[in-house]
Amino acid sequence: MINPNDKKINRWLLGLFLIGFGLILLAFWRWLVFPTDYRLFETSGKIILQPNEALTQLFTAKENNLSQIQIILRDENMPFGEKLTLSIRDENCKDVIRSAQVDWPLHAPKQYDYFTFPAIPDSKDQTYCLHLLFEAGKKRKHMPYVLTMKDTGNAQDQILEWKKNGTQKAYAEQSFVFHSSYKTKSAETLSEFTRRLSAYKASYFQGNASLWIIAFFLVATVILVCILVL
Amino acid sequence: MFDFQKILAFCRKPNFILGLILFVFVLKGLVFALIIPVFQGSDEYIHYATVQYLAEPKDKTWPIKTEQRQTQDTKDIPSYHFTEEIIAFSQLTESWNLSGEPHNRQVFDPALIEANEKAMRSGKYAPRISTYPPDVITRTTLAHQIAAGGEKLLSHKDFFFRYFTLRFLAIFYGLITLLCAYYISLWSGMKRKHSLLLTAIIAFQPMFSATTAIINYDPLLIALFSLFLLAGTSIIVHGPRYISFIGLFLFALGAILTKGTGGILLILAIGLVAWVLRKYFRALSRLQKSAFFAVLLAFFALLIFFPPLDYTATFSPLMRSDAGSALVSYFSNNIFDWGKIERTQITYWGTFGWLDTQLHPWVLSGIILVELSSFLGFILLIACLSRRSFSVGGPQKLIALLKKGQRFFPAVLSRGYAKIKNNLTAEKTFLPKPELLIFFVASTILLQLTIRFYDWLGIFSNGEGVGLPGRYFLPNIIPHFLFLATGFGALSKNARVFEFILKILLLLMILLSLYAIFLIIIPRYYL
Repeated sequence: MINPNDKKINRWLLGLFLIGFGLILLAFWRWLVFPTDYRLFETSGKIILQPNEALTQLFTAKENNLSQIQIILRDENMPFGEKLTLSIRDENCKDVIRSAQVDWPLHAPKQYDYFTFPAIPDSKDQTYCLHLLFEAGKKRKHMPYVLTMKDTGNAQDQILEWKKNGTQKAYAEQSFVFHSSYKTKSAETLSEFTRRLSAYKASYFQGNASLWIIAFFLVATVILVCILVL
Repeated sequence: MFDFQKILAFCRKPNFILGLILFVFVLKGLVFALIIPVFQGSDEYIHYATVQYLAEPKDKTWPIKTEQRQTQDTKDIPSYHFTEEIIAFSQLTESWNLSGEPHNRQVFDPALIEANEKAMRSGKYAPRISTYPPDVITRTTLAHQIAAGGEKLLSHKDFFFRYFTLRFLAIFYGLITLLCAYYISLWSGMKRKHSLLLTAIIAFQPMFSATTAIINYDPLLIALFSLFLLAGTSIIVHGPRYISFIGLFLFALGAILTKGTGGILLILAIGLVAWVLRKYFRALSRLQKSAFFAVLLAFFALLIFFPPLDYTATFSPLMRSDAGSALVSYFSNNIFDWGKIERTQITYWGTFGWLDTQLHPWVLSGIILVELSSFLGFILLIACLSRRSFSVGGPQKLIALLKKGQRFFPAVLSRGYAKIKNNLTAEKTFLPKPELLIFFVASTILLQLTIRFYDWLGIFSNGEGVGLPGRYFLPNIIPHFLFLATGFGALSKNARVFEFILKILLLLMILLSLYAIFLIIIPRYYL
């Protein structure tokens, strides 16, 4: 039984807090890779994911170390036991090069889902197949769907739906709404993060000042917690 | 050289801890001000346009054309009659493509950013409106006037400097709110440590943090509301003092001048005056009574002859014959609509930016679960207090019924019931005083009714309501958390257990805040 009079319990409390604190920062660090394109998207449609019928699209990596795909899926209530797997395959959509499940179930709804995987070192200018497979646990009323856009200006854009009977359905001139991101060294990652945070900000928020403010806030928060809890 | 024990003892002093809470709040405010991009705070376009409009020189020497706005599309920012600076920034960065479009990020092309920042800093876009009628908040408010003062003061600085510095005003209003939270909980009867923990919990509420870091009139309203509650608490706890009454009416007036919903404070102030008169009237000297009525009369005369509110616009729709039935139908359709309650809940706890950056629904479910546990304690406390006040009645019958059904409970439930009963009946000297809780219940109900009334009024008069976003309910954040603490306090065996629960709540709130910053807001705008 928990005894609040026991001083050890406060240390346990602090320990649990620090674990949660660390997990949040770790999850953030895992996400901290950046796409290289700066497009503003006009979403124009959606494709409903059918169980065990993969959706694929070819794309060309712009840099080395491809390590994350951000894609917009719509399913806020995916039950346990269901799987949504994104794999990076060769350009024939056969050999799996990397595979990942959605990163963090508690991200903001209606935002990008993050699929992070070990970086592919020589990915620059390589054509890959983005393969999305939904495995439903049981019959459900509403299926998740993926947002798409038309007229991207890229003539090669096409989404294929691989039916169970072996046929393919093509969605010509359509693309997933997605970003491909590339892992860089920690210093470069922080530098890019700082650059982005500094964009369109007052002079006192620009450069490393933005990172210092965040760091001071985190340290001060931990000190406050130690004083209030212990 | 350093006496570690002395430093430790100093760090444990309440004033130091309070200072540290405020310091962390300022740092957190800076983080929120930093990570919310320009014009991505709720309604920041129109609020900043109003501030710039008020800061314009009195002699408008530049050419001004008059034309009706071509479109009512809320995303077509360049068509709005805002200042040249706001229009230019929107056009250069296509900022409207971010609002409500969660799949879009700012265009982070380094060359483009450099060129745009240079253009915005060059001074070629004037901070003035040259197309009328201006798209600003027509009933300019106290918050806009104060911010306009800041805008004038910083007129020699560039757009970004002025914009982000004005966001600091909101952090300052947040600080005032936190100070009120501390003293209200302390004066209400809570222990010093409990008050500090509660203040820290409020400081980390994510939506409060985000709202007190943007250009809007809500932060000032929240601060004035809190100051009013502080004055009211002082009157109830310390007895009537001139300074408290002056504060009470000044803060009510300030709140009315800030936003229409502030009007309820006047009703609350009158209610409090009536309570004071009932309690202390006989003890007052003749001179005091005369002075009191004279001041009250002067105040009402002021309200009639210099109306801070447009009474006609507010109350004339009520004269329509169908107003009564429309109002009843609105309230019956809305109050028990779970979908709307849920939307208000999520926007109260964490819907950032243009309603497109939300906490995950599972997180909200967790919050609701915690709130329900506290609510249960609160209801049981009320039942217990009523039982003490009335020898027979509903609560007693309920307890009797529970006792009767005790034999059907499994042993664990029976033991749990007995424990809760013991905890409830134990003397709780560390909880807020009941008369204060009644005062806070009154302020909560009045705010709820007023916001819904304005929403109905909008629908009834113009076909479009103001909506019920959760941040409109933030002025009551102190009573809300006092209720939450009281509910848990009622279920606690003693002050130590209560303190332990408050510590858990604080840690959860900090984690919630960090989750909002690092896994919701930053990924939304920067990754």
